[in-house]
Amino acid sequence: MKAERLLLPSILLVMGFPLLALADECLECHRNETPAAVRQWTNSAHFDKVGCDDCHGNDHDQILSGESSVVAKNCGKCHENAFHQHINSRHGVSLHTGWGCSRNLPDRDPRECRFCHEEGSTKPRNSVQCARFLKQTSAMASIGCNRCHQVENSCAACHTNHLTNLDIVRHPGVCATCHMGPDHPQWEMWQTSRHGLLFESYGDETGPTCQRCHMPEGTHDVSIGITMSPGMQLFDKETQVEQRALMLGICQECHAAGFSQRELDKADAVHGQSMQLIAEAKEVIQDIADLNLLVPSLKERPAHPLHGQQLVLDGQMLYEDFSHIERLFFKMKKFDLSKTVKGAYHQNPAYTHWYGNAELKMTLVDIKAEADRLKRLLAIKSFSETDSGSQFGIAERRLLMLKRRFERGVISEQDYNHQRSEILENLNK
Amino acid sequence: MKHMVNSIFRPFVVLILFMSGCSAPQIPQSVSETPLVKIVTMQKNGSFSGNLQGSHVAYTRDGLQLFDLINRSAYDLSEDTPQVLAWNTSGTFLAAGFSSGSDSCRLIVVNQNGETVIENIFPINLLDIQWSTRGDLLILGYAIKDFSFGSNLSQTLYVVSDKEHVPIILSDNTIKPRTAQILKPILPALMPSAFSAQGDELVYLRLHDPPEFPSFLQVVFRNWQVPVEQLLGRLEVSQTKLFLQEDIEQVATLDVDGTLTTFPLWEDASVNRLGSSGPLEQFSPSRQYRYIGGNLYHNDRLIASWPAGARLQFLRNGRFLLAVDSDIYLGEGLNSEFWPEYNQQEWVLRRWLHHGLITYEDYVQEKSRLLQ
Repeated sequence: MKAERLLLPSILLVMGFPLLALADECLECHRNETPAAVRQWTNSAHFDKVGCDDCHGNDHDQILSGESSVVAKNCGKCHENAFHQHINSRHGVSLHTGWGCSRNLPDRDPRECRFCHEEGSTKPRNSVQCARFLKQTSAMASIGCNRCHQVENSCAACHTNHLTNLDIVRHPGVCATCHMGPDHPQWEMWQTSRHGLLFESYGDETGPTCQRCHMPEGTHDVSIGITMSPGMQLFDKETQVEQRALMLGICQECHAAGFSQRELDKADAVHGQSMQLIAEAKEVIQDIADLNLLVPSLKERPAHPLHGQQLVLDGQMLYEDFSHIERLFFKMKKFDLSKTVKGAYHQNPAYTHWYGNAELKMTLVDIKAEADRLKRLLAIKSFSETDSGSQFGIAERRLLMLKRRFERGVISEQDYNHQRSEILENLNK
Repeated sequence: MKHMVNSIFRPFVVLILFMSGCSAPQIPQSVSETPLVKIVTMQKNGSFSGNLQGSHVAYTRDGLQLFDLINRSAYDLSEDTPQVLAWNTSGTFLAAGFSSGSDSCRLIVVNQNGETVIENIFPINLLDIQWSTRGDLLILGYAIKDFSFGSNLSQTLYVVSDKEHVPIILSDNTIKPRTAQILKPILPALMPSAFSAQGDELVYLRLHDPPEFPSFLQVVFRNWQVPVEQLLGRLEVSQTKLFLQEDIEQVATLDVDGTLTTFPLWEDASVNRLGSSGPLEQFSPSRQYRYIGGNLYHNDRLIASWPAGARLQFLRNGRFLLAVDSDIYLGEGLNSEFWPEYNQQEWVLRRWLHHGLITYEDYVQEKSRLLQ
């Protein structure tokens, strides 16, 4: 084996292969500095085609400073098809979605500038639109965020750095690095489902893996067959039908068409029911915010990195500098909903029900209880204020809450006008 | 000989006639049997402001002076000349604003004894000072910061108390470098403002300068207690005067060419218009009296005529201050009028109206209940 390893480079050297001549410059040191990396490269499919500088460049200082990481575009020079599939899939829209500068728009929000610029500088500070990412230290952002979200720009996120062995990326474990944990435990729910059991018992010929269903025929488009956004909002009807047909085609490799359709329909229903619970919880919290009962209040807390001093539930919601009731909602939306819905699509009963649905409903109970507690505090506070000013204060809070409910479409225009008149009439009594 | 006498005495006659005219200036015409009383003389083209009770007058002469009409005593308040003077409605505090360099102004608040109770520097070029009837002290100004890509022009209203100064950003816009260069010297004239009598609302002009499009002025109306603004309309960039005509819920603007433009404050308000009035006229609080170009009218009857440049300030109890050239006079004999006072319900209703919590129809209905 050792002889074989030495034989090929020797033959190439004798043939005067120019690539190796270039690589030699690096190998001179790196055989000693990073022997395993060199070994992986010499054993890879790249060995006779791609040299060190093709990926890493020639500027050694830049490489040492960590500023010349190998980007997906570089791989795309040769792997053009895979690259285009990748960047157009949801792996391709991972973190670095750019902000357009809005300073010249007539109705711009001037607060936006500070997200991208230092005072007086036109140079963008960053191009990230994730509120939770913006709240992190750079160390936390690097390991806790970018290690997964770099997938947009890094083929190595799945393929590893110097190996080209496809066994690595065909194993479901490669997905587990990111697709696990409380926010989206696809790995765990697959592993403990029938599909996972079959894989454990018979390997990927019989047991469907992540790749088998989500990257059929080796495509790099991981969005195939998905009918909703990462935030679980359904795509438009046409896209849903198109994607569902693709997924049914995949299911039908093993299952009857009717069975597949029925199971996915059930998962769709679970998704719809769960989203209703989320909407209900949001309404409860919006009402509390309208009554100015969140502690710390929206004015007292640090400004949200993207939206400033306003209530942000859902997509760009933070998990710090906010109230207990919002913390409950974060758990419900980010963890419980995900487990319920993804559990259903991945055919895992325990995740769908106990880890998901039960928690989803119990958290809603907690949210309502917390809302009641806060409203009781308001009642006590209002009762203790007997001056005429408090009458206006209470009426103002009620009018504000009513208006926001109307704007959110919770009540009709007729009900809005009627209830507003009632508040004003009570004011005159 | 006769010619000789004439030539010797003629200059003396002229001098005597001239001196008689100088030493005994004519007291301006009064509006009643009580003649006007001269109080003080301010510097040429100086400014003055009396409290509504007519007990104190602040005026500029070698800085800022305060004159107590009851005790006939005077106080030197500052060696600097103020840009704006404003008394609170109860006449107990005077606020004076001074320029203190680029994007900086100094505010002092003094009591009737000339003692300073608040003194502070604000990072704005001062435009106006106003006291609300509730007692809020408001100062309005602008700041301009130049960057390589253009300039940031902001207008800020500060709500000032002895404890804190709350800034309310009224605008914060980027303007192109060329626009900034041209307009910088005349910015104060491009950004006039007018407060409501209660001091809870203001109308102002905001400069917009979008790329590839001409600059324009946006007419903005807002209640400073709520973060909602009403965009009333656009104007071409021009030095403009602004008038808030509260009785008819309207804003009038007058540009340098004399073009008058009006904007209703509320969409529904036009149905309640009572009539129109010339915006250049100065009205007494109940609109019984109007003053224009030196002429004072009681309803439509001319009751006094003074030099065209004379400045008038209506006071409580039928009194008024009149400045002719540099002399300030106190007059009386006008009918006593109702002056705006703080009314919590009216104040709250206006705030709700601005916030969109009630409709204009609700407001009119509630206000009529209030009057009943």
